[in-house]
Amino acid sequence: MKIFEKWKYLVFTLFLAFILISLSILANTYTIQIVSVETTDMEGNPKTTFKCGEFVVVKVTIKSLLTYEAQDYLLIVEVFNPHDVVIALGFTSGSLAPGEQVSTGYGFKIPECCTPGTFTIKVFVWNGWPAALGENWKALSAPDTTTITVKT
Amino acid sequence: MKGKIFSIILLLILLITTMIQTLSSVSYVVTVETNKVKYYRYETVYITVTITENGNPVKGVIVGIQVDDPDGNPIYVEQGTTDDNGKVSFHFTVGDPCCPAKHGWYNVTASTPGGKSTTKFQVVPRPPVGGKIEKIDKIELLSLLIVDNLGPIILTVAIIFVICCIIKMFSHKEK
Repeated sequence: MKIFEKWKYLVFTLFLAFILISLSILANTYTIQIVSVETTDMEGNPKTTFKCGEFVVVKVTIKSLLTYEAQDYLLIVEVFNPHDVVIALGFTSGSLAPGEQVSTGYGFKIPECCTPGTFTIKVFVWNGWPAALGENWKALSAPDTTTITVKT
Repeated sequence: MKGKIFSIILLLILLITTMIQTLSSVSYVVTVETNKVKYYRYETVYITVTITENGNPVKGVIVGIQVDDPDGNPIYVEQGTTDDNGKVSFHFTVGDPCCPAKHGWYNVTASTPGGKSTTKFQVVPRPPVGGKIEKIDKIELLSLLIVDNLGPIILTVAIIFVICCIIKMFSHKEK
């Protein structure tokens, strides 16, 4: 106990250092995890092959990695055709309680005159739009990608 | 006593270091550029973002890109991380015959925690193949038609004149 008394300031300093380093690391890491991205038909049945003109539902499940506070998010779903053209761009926003997990769906129609092939679906979770937030913009999760096959 | 002084000094150094780190982390210089200023529909736009700090490239910075169409609606977003040279590249195609892009100026915004930059590019109509069509008014079009068909018109008028003369000659003879 005498040793602890002697070095109590050092112990306190090390503890504070640990807290500061942890906060610093946390500030540079993602606070939301994209648990899953899957495509379904209008009835919610999992499906990865579609035809031009059909509707696709992108079901995204996200989870908050924070344990002490709620956080607002912007979830963006972007769909590219085989020629790298964005054929659909949708978004939803909301708030996640600490540790909360939610699922959200984004539906879009594949154009009737579409190019058959592999369509790429990208999902982003940000704290807002880059143009609106500027230097306060932050990615809350790593992006996730899935693909669907489209036939004529 | 020595331990106490040592701890206080260590604590001060730690606090100052943390403060410097926090302050310096929000001073990135962000530059965003496209490979061209003017594009035709169906061309690919290449966007490059460079992040520097005190003139040095910064690796591992997460960058968000947003491209807005002439009406201000987002048409493309992307997220990337800078490489050893502080650069991250993005690309997308400006519409296709199925989803044609609007003509006009598009805004590109690159944002990162601690910095922002914008640029613009233009989508212009593709010039017609085989020549340039200019606006022609009605009078100009009529004159062009007359000039281009002057030979047949003169011939027709001459034939009508000859026929009229023959008819007049015969009618005089009958009298």
